[in-house]
Amino acid sequence: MPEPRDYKKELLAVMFSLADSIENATDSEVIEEVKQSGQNSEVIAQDVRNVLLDSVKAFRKRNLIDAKERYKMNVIKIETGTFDLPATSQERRELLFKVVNDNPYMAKGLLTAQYREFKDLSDDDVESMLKQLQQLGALKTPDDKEK
Amino acid sequence: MSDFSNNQKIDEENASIEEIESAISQLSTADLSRLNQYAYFRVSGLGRFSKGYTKEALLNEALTRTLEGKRNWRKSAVDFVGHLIATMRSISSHWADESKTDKENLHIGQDSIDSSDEEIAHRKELLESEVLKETAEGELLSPINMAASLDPDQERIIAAKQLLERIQKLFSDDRQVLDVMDGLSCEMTGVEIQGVTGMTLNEYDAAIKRLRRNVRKMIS
Repeated sequence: MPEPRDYKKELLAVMFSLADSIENATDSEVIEEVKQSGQNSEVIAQDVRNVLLDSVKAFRKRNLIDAKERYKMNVIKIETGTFDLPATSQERRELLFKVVNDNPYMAKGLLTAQYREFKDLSDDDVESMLKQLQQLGALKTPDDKEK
Repeated sequence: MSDFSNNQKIDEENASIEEIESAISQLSTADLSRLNQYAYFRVSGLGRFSKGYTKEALLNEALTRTLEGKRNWRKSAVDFVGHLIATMRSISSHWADESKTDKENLHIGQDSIDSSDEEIAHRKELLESEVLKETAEGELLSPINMAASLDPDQERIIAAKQLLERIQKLFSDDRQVLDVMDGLSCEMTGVEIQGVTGMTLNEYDAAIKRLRRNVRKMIS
């Protein structure tokens, strides 16, 4: 007994082959076919460009939201974490200065140009940066130093 | 080559979001029309009742996967249009596989599909007359129509059958196109079709073009 026809598979094979044949069509053939189907190629082109640009926009937006979420999580970690920092603000400032001097590449990521001299950094800024460094593992804790 | 060198090479070849954005802005009307046609035919192959598979969704998915780095655009190897077409090919093939899995899960029989359209309509009418219900407002409700969404694969098979028949009717006096269509539906390659039918490459290409143009016109 012959197998029943698989119409879905047949349609798939025909349409997929027609799609693939578009790859080798010349530009004028492609434009001509759009016209023959009663559509305006300029309008079609703009629609497709918009779909693609909307995808880029959606991707950027999602990245931004993810980055904000990660930032929020980091702030929470810093606010709720336990840190082992020098007791006085002067000692903390000196420690930050030393770390950045020893690791100049860090200064680029951590400090904007206006703060490079540390003169405008508030005590809170210094403390926050040291906490971030400690969280990143870039600042040794007393335990690490003993090792 | 070390792993580091390999990674470095891959990194060098991956396009940035800015490069992708710039490539989109440089696409010509023909490029964009080609992408549109390609997406259109791939999605049409999945059937009219496919679950949310539109050409816009296919284009969007192809670009999103590129932006996410799941599909790398190797600029040195292929242009942007070629890359998007290859990505759409892969995604739509995957969608087709998903559709097959749906069918297996639904355990749809083929017997009713091989019946003629009139027979199908008649059976539906008979069944419907037995189960039609009237609401308090006098509106007739058909549980069959209401349940149609539960059986999407059957709808897709009927739609595929009807579309194939419409295309065949359209080309009833064009033997070459019918031969090409017959070969393609059996998943034969162009070379195989030419071998079986004795068509030359030019005749085959011309038949494909007639088929493509008229199918596009017919469906739109």
